[in-house]
Amino acid sequence: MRASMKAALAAAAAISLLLAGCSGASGGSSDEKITLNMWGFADLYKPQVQQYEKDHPNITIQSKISDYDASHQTLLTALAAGKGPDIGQIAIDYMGEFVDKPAAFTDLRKFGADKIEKNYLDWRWAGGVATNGSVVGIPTDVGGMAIAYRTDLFQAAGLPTDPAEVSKLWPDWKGYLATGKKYVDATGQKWVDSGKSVFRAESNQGDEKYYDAKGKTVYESNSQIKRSFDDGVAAIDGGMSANVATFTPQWGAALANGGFATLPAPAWMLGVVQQQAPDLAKEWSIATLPGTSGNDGGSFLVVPKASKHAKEAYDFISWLEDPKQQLANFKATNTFPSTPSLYSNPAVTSLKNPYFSDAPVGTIYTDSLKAVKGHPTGPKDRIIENQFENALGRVDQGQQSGPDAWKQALGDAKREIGD
Amino acid sequence: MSTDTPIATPFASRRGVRAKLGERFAPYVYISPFFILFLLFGLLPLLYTIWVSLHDWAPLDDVHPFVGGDNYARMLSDPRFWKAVANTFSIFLLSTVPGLVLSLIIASVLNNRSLRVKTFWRMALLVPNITPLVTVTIVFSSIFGRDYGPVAWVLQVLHLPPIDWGATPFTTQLVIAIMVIWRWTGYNALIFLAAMQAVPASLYESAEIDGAGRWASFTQVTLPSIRPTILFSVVTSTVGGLQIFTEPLLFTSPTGGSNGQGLTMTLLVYGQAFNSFHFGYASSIAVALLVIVLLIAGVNFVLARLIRSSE
Amino acid sequence: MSVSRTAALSDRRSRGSRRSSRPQVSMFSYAVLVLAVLGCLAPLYWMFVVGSNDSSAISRFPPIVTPGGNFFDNIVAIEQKVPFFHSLVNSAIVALSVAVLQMFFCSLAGFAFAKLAFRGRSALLVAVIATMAIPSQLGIVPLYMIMSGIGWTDTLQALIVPGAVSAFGVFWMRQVVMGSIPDELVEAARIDGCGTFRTYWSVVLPNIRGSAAVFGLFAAMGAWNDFLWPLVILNSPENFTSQVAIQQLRTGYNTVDYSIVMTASILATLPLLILFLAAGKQLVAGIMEGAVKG
Repeated sequence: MRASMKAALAAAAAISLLLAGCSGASGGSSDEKITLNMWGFADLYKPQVQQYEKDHPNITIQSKISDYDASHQTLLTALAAGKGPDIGQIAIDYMGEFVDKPAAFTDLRKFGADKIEKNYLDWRWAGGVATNGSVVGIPTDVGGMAIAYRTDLFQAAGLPTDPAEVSKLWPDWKGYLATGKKYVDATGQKWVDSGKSVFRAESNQGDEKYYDAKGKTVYESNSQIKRSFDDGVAAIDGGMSANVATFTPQWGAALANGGFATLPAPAWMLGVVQQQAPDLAKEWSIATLPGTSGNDGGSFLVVPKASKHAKEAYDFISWLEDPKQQLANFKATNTFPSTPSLYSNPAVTSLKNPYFSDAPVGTIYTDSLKAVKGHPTGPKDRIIENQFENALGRVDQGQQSGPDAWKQALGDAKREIGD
Repeated sequence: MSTDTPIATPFASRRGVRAKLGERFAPYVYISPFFILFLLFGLLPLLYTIWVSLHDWAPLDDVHPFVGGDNYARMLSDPRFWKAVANTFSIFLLSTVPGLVLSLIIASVLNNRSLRVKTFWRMALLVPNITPLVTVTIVFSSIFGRDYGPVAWVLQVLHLPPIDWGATPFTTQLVIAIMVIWRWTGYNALIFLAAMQAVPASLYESAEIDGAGRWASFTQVTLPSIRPTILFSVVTSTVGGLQIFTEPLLFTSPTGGSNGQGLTMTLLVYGQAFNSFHFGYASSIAVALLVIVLLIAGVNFVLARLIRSSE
Repeated sequence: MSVSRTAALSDRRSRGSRRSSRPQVSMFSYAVLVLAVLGCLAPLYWMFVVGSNDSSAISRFPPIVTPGGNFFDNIVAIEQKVPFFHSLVNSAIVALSVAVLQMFFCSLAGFAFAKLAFRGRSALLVAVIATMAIPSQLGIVPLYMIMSGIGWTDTLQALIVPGAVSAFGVFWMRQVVMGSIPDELVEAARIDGCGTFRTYWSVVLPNIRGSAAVFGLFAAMGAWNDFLWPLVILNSPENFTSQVAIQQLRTGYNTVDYSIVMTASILATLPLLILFLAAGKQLVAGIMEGAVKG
């Protein structure tokens, strides 16, 4: 590899002499003006960025976002080439694979990351720490988890509509499925968007998921996973699932047209619902998740080893995810903070969402987050999750029975990770 | 139209021996700009891919152990690989064959001097090719939704049951094929048109004198005359068709759907590389795809040569 | 029914008067065309409908078919998020450069493959086809290494230079030269004392001008649509091409305002449509002209 790389670089150098062009605007060579490149999949909040640039006049922050999967692919490509932006955003689902390779990232303890550890939810912080103790990433927001439901459809089916009463209907998933059965029998309509949603919400509630604390895979034996899977199958077999994949145009259409009555929803999903179904304002509300505890989503900000401005990058991201800034971000965009000190802050707890019939989303989501036990993550988390989600997809599409899908999922997972 | 015998080198010149030598190297000199760039940006990635396929290559690791043919052995016993091969061929056949036939038909319709507003038709036919691919898949996903969207609405109006297009392999691949046909038919039609317009009028005139109707002159004059172009289009459509990637990725998922309904070989390569972080394994699948493409292109050429030599 | 070369040569002059024996275009032909065009344009119209309403328009059932009034508001919103019109300019620069470079390099190489004999010609041709067959997704990693090695990250030339050569282009040009340039023509040039390059420039190029123009257009379209490589290599918003700029219109986790994305996508096709309009007449003439010149 080395020899051919050298040859390639030699040839490239020859060509670049012939085709000498000026290089683009990628970071200044002088010490004064610094441009930080950030790659991610979710927007930075512009006023925050502008404030930081005002306070640090020598720093400009440039961000490039793209589709969820494409952004991770872009980051991986650059890292694989030994390069990278100054700041990368990695989703919690993808983090297991990246955190396993701390050599590609700057250990943020170098700049004092262990001092800010106490600000964050412990399970959230732990996701960004490699097995050798290196702090690879700083947490951004969290999702929390609750159930969004259609008050008008509930009423038509003879169910209560007040959030507190609705939450009493399902203290656990058994209650959720039973209520679902009642709804389907009464109206003939669908209850939940997909079996996968049930699985996703429930599987995150244990103290272990796919790996144990020692780093061994436990997805086959973990009863929490089996239970979640079976509940997903039960939802499908009970005719409750609308069989639409989240975030597809079909899912958006189902949202807007009564395709399902309930939706397990993290905090950041509420905005999507509003956007896709603007006419349904006040016909939705929020209740507690069965089992209360839950989280879906969130990301980490990392500083690749290749960054030439690691210190400035760290300064920015530690400022951005500081409780004060997370509060400002929350007030502006409703993204839920990962800093528990804010969970008793009235600005957070008193949040009500007018679209969702003024449901007390502040308390509902903070309660769900406070109840999270946290579970060990591992490098193949996302791959294993894919197999189970595909399995439930097959059941939802009527291609396989629950038990067969489970068996295939285990086999697929073993093959994927066992190389 | 045999142009297989190239002009013999070197170009004779009255300028003497030195010039003669210079001319001998002329071919190399004149294609060297192309080849330097080609070497760097075409051949190098190809060789890199082959090299990586011989290793256990996790992208962010420091060491990549050499494993020789292990990736290939694993590939041959991997059911997903064979599913991907089968899907690639079925999507290819579903999309390329009707697509090229449609392109021929449209080209022959356009190949008429007295057609009005020529530019408008040509422009309209190229619109699918310039629409951002990402958007195309959003649009087609919502067109072919199960419960919502124009197709679902038509089915409802006709009192037909809804179709879950993404559920079975056939319907999934059908939608993907429709997307590919939509995107490339106009493009290929224009290529055929360019070839058709180079056919001399005298041939059509003599065919008419012989009493040939429209269909006969199409099959006896047009088609044989543009045969090199048809062969060219078949080969390039084959190469492209066997690499279909973005449409299945965005219509199904990085794994080609819940059961790999839309899993093509390139999608499997992508998934293994960027989803599962197995660059080595992904590269071996890419090399397998390369071999398949070369084989099929080779078959195309041999067939063409046979057909040509038989007349 | 094979065509003899001499017949083809002498017939070139009569091409101007062809089709005079077929004055009418049949109803069937028009029907085919109208259907084809409807099929091509219907999705674009749907994009416009969604783009001029709001994001929820994509979810409405029964589907909306009438445009709304948001198109210009969306344009404003787009420009606030990312310098979109500048990205259209960037795309145009890249597309034009790629088109010109490809037309030149690929026709030169195509000519060499078609008319010149040299050692390793067949092997090289197979290598060219082989590179067409390798999925580009994997080639991105070594390409990135090369580009960052020579300091070309976040530049437009990183998009143009790798795009200057196209295996498909060489293959096509070889085809065109083989089909349009008889050996006798090249012979004649040689007898007249032309060197290889002179032959290419004065004899071959003018005769394939029409096809080269069409090819240039296709090369420009390909460069315009390129999404993955620009996404990886570009960093600064002012360097973004249109496809990358469209990506910046996302709002959050998996959140897409479909209406804005559709508006941007339509805007992204406009420059090419304008190019078609401007070059359209030339292309039609060019294709025909390439056929008439003897």
